[in-house]
Amino acid sequence: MIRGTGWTFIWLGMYLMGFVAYQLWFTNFLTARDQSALAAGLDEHFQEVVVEEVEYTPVFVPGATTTTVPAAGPESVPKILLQESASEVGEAFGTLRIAAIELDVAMVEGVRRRDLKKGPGHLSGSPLPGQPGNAVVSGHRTTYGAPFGDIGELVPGDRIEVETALGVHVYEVREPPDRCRDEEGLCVVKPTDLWVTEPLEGAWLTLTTCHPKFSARQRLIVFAELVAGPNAEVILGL
Amino acid sequence: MIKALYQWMPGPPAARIAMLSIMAVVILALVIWSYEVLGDFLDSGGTVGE
Repeated sequence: MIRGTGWTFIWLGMYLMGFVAYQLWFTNFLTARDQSALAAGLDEHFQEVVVEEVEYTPVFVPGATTTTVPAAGPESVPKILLQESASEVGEAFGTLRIAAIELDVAMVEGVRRRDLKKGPGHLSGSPLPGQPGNAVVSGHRTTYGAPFGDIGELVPGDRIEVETALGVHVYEVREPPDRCRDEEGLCVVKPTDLWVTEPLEGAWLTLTTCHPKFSARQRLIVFAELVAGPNAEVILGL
Repeated sequence: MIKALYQWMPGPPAARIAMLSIMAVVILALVIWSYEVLGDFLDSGGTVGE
């Protein structure tokens, strides 16, 4: 009886140690392998992407306040926006660079479980980075390379660069809205708070990850606004 | 424990080893699957509304 109980605890201990090793080490190895493959294929992807010129239609959100300059009036010449074709879900479409937290990773299209194992994933259905509206990108915080492990350290003004086939889109982190700001100044929401993915006026990049670390109970959100890039002049009305 | 299981199994040694190997693979797959499921409680990828 005692021997059986002892063996049960030994197996349980081995199972839990295996779990910790798998989550904190092996998943990183898997993601590093995928990232190498994605990065290697990005140049080829950039050459294959179809870039179109489309008429710029500003995103209008009733009642919203924005820091961007309003788009030109209807009497002015239509503005032309560069738009790239969407990638297949699960394929890399760009690179995310955040110098403040020493992040430089390939991003994939889609936020399925298997997409996010490769790297940060773009929410299909939200605009691509560099386009008007709210581009949403999700990423792991503690496992699978933890690409968003340190995004809680970002402060307003920090720069985020997203390189796609169009070029480098530069965003600046903005203050979180009052409705989600906690005592530490972070934007923390429930996993069901869909408002963070809703369209915004101008061009925004919204990063989402789990919160607190080692828990999927809540979401940490970082909002960043486009300040420079191939489409910035058109969207910001400069 | 593995030795006891081997001795309990019927059939020639090659068949017993084959059965033990299959069992090991199945158990490993179950363990990894359970790690994936439990891992979602640690870090589900940070998606909102998915």
